[in-house]
Amino acid sequence: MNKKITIILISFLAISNWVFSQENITGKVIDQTDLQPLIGALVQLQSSGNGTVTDEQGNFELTNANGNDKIIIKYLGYDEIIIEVTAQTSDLGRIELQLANTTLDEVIVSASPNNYKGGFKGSNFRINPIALKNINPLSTEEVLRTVPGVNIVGDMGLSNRPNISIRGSWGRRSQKVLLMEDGTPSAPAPYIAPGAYYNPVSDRLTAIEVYKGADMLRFGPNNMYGAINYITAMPPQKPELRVKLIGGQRNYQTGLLSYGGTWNNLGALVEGVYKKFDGFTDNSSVEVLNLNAKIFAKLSDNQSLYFKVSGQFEDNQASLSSQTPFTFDNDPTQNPLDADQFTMRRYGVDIIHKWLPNSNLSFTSKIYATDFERDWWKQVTAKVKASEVKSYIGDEIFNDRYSYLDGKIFGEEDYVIVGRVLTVGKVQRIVVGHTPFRDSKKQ
Amino acid sequence: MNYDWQAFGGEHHLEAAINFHRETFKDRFLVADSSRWARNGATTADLWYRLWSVNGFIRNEFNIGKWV
Repeated sequence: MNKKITIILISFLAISNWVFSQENITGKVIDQTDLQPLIGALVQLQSSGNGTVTDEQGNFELTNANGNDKIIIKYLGYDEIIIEVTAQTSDLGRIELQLANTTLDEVIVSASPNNYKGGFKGSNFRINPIALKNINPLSTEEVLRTVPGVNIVGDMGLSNRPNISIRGSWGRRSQKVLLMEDGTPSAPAPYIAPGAYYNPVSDRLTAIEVYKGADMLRFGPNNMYGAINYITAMPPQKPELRVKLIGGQRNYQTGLLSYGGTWNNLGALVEGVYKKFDGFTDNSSVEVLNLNAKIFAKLSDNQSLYFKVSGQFEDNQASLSSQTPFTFDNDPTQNPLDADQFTMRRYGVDIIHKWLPNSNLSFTSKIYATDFERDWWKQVTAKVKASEVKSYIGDEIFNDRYSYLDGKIFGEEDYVIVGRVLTVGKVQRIVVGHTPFRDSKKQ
Repeated sequence: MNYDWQAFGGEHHLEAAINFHRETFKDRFLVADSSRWARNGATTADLWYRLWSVNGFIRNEFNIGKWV
């Protein structure tokens, strides 16, 4: 009886082993240059069209492979590979894909886990796609803080107006740092008014590169200290719909919806991101909507084209100076100034074309244009002694917004910032103190 | 433009670029005289900046002999 069971068991194991070798083919897809795994490469059987994509280590497992067939391995920006397999093939080992010569360095990002970009003369640091995915940051500031040599002074919002300093540069609104999105300057007016009043939301990004040093001469204005290149998502190899929903405290909401894929030599992606947050203090809410679409096409063996359009719309409450040491000690989240508001819209288009007349020579041309407009209401304020707030603004406003001061004993140096009051005639009092401020920039 | 060429027994990499850039920046500053949400008021600054820029570079990476 025992002998019978043993024979059945051995036969079963042998059969299952045989079946396994017939149906499953495994392998690992890597970049030929830096030998790093390629995430999301498409691995397909030529006969049936069935396929899979590589995981975060570049590994794949193809099932339902029967007999002699061909396996096609594709990855956007790389030359495709065709491998013949037989019924006995079970492991293809390491498969190296070569970066296509038509690839655009500015926008195609390697999935490499390296924290640097080879070939750049000078210091550079990259937040790679895996790290960015794992951190899943609220804002770009959160990840940039981890980069050596980068210093950030936090501000309101979700990095809408970042203050980034590199190697000790003046950090206010990142004016001395060149900010780029997919290799294109992203400031509203990079030369005239380089303040960062536009910054991509972190959910759209695949990688972030920080450059310092000699090779900065390749880039545009404000390249004395350093540059930050935000690289947005490229179309995935396999058509996919992506939905990301996040909710959190203080009404934090993020919704991302994207659809994209690669069909023959054309990759396309449309994406929409909505973000809302009440801010860390009163009256500091943020609302952002970004819509964008991009196409990357390999036109022929020696030409490629990248096209991107995007629009961003923001509505923020942006208080600039509502705190004093006294009010901060009392309650750091209070902010009674509700009329500081900032709205903006930005449209952008990028077209990049690469042409290789021969294997030694390549020409890359790029056209970019943006149109940016912001309306900004800044409250005109007055700093008054805490003990005099009630007499300055009157009972009505005091009871509405400053009642937390009631019954407190104040020191000589305790001040409160309030909306400025104008006295009209002898009786009437009006709080005006609000200044609409508008400008627009084109590049 | 990127060009790989050979000389002095080594490979050289030539890179050149030219960049044309134009910006317009309109900056208006209004002081509201009625509602704090007013979209108009007394104009206290009305500035219009225009800028043209042309810049470029040529760099070549020389590889002359083996120094190591």
